[in-house]
Amino acid sequence: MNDEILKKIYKSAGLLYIEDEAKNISNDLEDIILKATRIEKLEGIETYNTINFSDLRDNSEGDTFSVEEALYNTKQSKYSYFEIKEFVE
Amino acid sequence: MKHDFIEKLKNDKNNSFINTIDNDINDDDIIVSISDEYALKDIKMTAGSKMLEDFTPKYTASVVKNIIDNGYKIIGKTNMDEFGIISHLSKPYFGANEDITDKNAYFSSSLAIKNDLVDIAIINDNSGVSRISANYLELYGFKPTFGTTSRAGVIQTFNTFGQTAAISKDYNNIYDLFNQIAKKENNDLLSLENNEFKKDINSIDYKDMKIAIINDVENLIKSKDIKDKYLTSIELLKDKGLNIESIDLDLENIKLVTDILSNTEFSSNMNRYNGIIYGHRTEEYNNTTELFEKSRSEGFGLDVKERIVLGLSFINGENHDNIYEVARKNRNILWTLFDNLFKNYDLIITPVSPYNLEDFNNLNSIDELLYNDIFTSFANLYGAPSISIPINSGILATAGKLNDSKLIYLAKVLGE
Repeated sequence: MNDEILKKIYKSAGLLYIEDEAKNISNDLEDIILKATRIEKLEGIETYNTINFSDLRDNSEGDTFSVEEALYNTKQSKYSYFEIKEFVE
Repeated sequence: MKHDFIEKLKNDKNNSFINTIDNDINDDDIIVSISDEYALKDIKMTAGSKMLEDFTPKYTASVVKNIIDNGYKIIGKTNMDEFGIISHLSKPYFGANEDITDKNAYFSSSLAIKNDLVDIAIINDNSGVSRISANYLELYGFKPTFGTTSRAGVIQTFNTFGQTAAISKDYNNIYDLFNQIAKKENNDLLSLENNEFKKDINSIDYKDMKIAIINDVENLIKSKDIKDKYLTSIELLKDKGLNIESIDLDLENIKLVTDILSNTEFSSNMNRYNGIIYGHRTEEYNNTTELFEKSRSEGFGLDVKERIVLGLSFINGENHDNIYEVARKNRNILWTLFDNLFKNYDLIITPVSPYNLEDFNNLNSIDELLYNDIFTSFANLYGAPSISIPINSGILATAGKLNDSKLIYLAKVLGE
């Protein structure tokens, strides 16, 4: 992980950036992050486009909504509390 | 008094317990420990972390209340690696399990059983700790279907993966316990009715069940003795007259999905520890940002910091769409895959872990440590029940959701 990204992630994590510690962690994470970048899309992922309410709650009807709609709020949380707080300030 | 608990604890060099609880014990009582991530009113709850060293909850976790209400005697809170993250970069805050390793406190709950300190150990199983640690010490480890017990009052770390699990020398103890405490509760919307434990253990009979083993699974095993013994175990299952067929299942890709989603959940859950609402607060600070950063940096150990960084790496910039979103969609597809698989098979059998205990204790990188959960963690991803049975260096059986009694049946058959 390059230094700038590592510093950004530490900021986002609400942790003090201590260089030796951060580099030690970064080195240890190298293999698992590399592996994650090679994640295979499973068959059917392209046609995965709806979520059934009944998948989420036992007592709901069978209505559906788009994944994009469902993900909208999730995507808003791609920034952490600490980043948003910094932005607001 | 059945157990001279305090006396035994004085001689315990394994740091198995963080807290003991004053409880009158009768000869016929069943003694239980809970790991230090379960709230018990007015007793400190640390989750093995300096961050929560001074935290005392004013409530009792639902599952713990059910254990007490059903007459079990809780006698202590077991040690654990910080927030359930296995230590390898730093020592556990409350000491390591010295008889086994000087690196971590992974075995605390299992050691409490092994050393006859308690009859049943309760622990939150996020990716396999109950089954793997139990198996290394030749005990039964059992994780029921996700939602069998409420998560209210349990420290949230990997909340869509974790399930209250039990470790014991006797699977009958585990079955009886869940018979009492399996309960749908309003304080956890994902808890459900699991009536599996109401079945009479002596009369359950699944002798016609179909068992799946995974093609080429031995190639995923790293320690040679585990590989040899696993193959012997499959022969043993055949000798018992069980119907076994081979299937294809890409455990490595499934494990990757689990690692991405669970660590992202973990980093998100750790946000609440900021020194204001919860957790250690630094003594000197000039503004709120400094308060947060210093409190978190002082309160968390290196292994927790590493997992927070890992989780955030998976959602940082383009990785959000290229890694996290792919994993999240893959999880839904895998749920359907497992739904279909368990329509055709009653159980999937694998080894419990790819490393033997000696090799496990020599692992040094996070990649290797995560790999040790490759056989156990798909049950957490899918929410399935799973048991480790201590024969022949251990076999792991995983059943479809709400088919928990099939696992106990297998333990019974193999124990005969």
